[in-house]
Amino acid sequence: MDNALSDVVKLEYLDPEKAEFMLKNGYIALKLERPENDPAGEENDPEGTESEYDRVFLHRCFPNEFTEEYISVLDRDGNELGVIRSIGDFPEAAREILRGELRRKYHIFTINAVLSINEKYGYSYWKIRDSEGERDFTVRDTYRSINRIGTDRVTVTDVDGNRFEIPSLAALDRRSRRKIEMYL
Amino acid sequence: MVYYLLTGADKAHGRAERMIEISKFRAEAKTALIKHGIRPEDIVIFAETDLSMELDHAAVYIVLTEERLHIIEGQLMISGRPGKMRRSAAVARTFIETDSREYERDKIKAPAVEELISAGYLTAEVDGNTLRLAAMTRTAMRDVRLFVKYAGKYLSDGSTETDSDDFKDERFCPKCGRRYPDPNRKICPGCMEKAGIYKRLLAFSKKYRWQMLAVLLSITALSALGVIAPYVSTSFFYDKVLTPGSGWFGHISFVLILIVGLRLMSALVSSLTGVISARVSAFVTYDLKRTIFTAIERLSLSFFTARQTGGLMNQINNDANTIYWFFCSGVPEFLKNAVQLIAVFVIMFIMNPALAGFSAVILPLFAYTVWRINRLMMTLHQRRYASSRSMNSALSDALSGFRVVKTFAREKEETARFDKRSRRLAYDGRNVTIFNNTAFPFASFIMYLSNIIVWAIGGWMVISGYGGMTYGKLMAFIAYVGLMNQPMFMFVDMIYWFSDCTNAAGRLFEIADAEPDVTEPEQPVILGEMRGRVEFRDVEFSYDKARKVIDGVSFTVEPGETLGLVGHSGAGKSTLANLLMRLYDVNAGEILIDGVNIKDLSFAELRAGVGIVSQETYLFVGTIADNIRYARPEASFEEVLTAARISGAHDFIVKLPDGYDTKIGFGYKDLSGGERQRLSIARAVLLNPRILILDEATAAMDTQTERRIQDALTLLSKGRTTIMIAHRLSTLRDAGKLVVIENGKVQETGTHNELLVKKGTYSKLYTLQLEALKNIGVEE
Repeated sequence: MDNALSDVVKLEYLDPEKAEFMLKNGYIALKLERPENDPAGEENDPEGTESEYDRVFLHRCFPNEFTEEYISVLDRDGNELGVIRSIGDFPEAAREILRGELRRKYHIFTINAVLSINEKYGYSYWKIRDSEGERDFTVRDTYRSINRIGTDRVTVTDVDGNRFEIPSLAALDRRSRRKIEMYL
Repeated sequence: MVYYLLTGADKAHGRAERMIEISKFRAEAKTALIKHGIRPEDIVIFAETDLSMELDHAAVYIVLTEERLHIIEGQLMISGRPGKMRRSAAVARTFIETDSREYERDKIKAPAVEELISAGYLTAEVDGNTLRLAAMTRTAMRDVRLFVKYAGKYLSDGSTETDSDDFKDERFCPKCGRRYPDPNRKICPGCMEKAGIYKRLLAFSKKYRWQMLAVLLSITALSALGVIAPYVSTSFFYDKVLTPGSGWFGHISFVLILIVGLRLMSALVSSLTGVISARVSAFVTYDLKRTIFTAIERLSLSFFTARQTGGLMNQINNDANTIYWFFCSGVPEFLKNAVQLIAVFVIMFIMNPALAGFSAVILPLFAYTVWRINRLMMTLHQRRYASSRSMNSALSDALSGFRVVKTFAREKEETARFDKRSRRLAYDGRNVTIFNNTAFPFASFIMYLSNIIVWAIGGWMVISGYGGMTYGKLMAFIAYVGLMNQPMFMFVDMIYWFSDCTNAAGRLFEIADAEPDVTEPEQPVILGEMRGRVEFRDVEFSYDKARKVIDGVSFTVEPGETLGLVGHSGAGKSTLANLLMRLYDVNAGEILIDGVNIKDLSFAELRAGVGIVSQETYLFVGTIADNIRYARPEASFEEVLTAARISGAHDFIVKLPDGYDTKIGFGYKDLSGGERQRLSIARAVLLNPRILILDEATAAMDTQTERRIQDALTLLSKGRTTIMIAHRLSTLRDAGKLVVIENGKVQETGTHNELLVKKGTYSKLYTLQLEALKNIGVEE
């Protein structure tokens, strides 16, 4: 069944041998060896065998499940250049670059402890502690803003769209867990 | 994010007249900048963000002077934690710099905000390369966007003109500094005045003040009766009737009649109270709901797009019910218990002050226990509520998606999914019941300690004859202590009940008080006969302030002309239609009909003159005829028939057994997408507007039907102004003029032929669609 599907459409995985990621002014650039059949590329540059993109964008296909696998690579216009099957397949230098950009793009604050959740009129005011200290934030539509991923991980999105993460409910202290439990 | 209000001492001293102060320019920023040789008067634009380049929490100053852009990163040390009110002046702030960068003004161009998933960056072209200059959370993004806006302007032409609207930060409650949970509704849950809410609720019940007075009186009577009864059946019975020598000795039948009479009377008064209070509360909630509904209908579309309609509906209903039960059951119960408790105490004090005092010793402990129990109970209830929600959603998912479940043979999995959630609900329900059955007996036991005290001390008093204590009085005391039980439970309950009701009323009044953004002019211009000339003049619009959806759009449509709006989905075509209907108001520029700004027309004239058939087809519960007549209930049967004919609905309607009288809408006959759309075209046709907007009106139909309706619509559009929005360019073949919209801007304008010659966006789209047709063997 799987074979039949991939016969129809091939996912374009980026080949670590043929795709070179580098940093350019703090952004990721990509040099891509052109596949044999690429009329668009030939039209632009009939001589060369490589395409160069001075800026590419990374997007996790399954942000909840994989941090380093199935990363879609897009050009400025949002066209997919290919999918990174796993960052681990790439050389050390590229790995660093990709991880750095993903970390920035998917930046999330980590909640170490929930100090209080005050609910008023369906909104909730949170006081939490992260690695750097205490913060407050406001959550609208509390139930829907809390996303439980699997059984142990939880993310919370505040009114502005900032995201917070509890990497492991089990690792949370009992008081914090009790406070958040009723919203799960 | 923490956001502290400025204290008086914080206010910037000696800030330059022209500094564009996007974020508050506080004293510590001033100090930090002076270290870099930047004086407040040098600053052109000042903004602050909250993340370092490494995305750690930080304070980052973004300062544009005449010569340079400075980015100064550091940590803000706040000593002396601000108090609850966030106004406490005893806060010292120190900025400790960790990093700084600067860029020559001449070398920076095109500042912008790069939005990532949760954070974002300020970027700019420096020497031709786009660089990330500073990072921010979503909270600080508003300020950085403003910085980008003003810096962009200043860098390109040196202008420092500001729009005062941009500087009203309306995200925080001005009173307590707390974040408004909903940026569209400036309501601070912390500062909502509770007394005010109750005053308003009482205002609703003013009409019923006599009934309410009756309720009050009967409740008092009820409590009094309830308090007298134990006295008669204990103290009076033992000490008078059963004691030889007293005047009442042996009058057992009299006591029996008295007791039965008292019981009967309290039953009567009690049902009377119930009837009156049910009537009053029902009508008060009715009035309340009506007020809210009227308020909702008056509100602009933006109010609804900002929240889920389903949630809103539920909220109004639940809230009104909460208020109903509070007034119908809560308030009378509370009054009854309060009067009872006071009366019991008074009687006990008269009978024996010392024993009364002893019996009250346990009350604080009891109140505390009940309060704790209730808190735990709430948690359990909330958990059960969450489980029941999740079970219900699984249920409604499986039922509404029944066809899909069947086609993919997922019955087993759906059953399992439901089973899992249903089991969780069962567990949670069990927990609530178990807790109920253990905690409350425990609380009652604590209250029972009062009885023990009364037995012990009272018994000793009877034996020693202290304070004239008799056996009958002791029995009465014990009965009275029992009477205190219920009011105490009730009072603790009441705390929650009261806060629920306040919340519910607060939410309802909040809706009632919301101001519509689109308002009708007080003295509208009367057009009389609308000719149908439409002009968009430099129209700008955005749903939120951040991103312009419509950016400087201008075009005119002469009376009777047909204009086609073309563009990719999301280009802003439907938004233009919504603006012409005044479902939203433009942010800048104006829209004119026959030379009059539509803001100066009455809603009635505007909406009678402009008809829209949109992608969204909503049918109300009722007959097909009712739905067609929606905008003109007075239309004749003949007109309804004609309108249905034009829209192509007639053909399918006559095939239905009940014809035009077929019931449709929620729970009735289901129509197909194309049929629904034909009905909504008929609805607009019947309105017979001078200006007709067809927003993808025929998108859900097959090509043949579309062609037929198009022909009819072409006939209809003769002599009236028509604006057609369509994906399929073939739909627009009759449009005299085409306007191509791209990213909210007018890309090109002209006739079909002119645009083909131009070889721009339109010709590209046209060729693409033509090729697609050719590929499947269809030639236009």
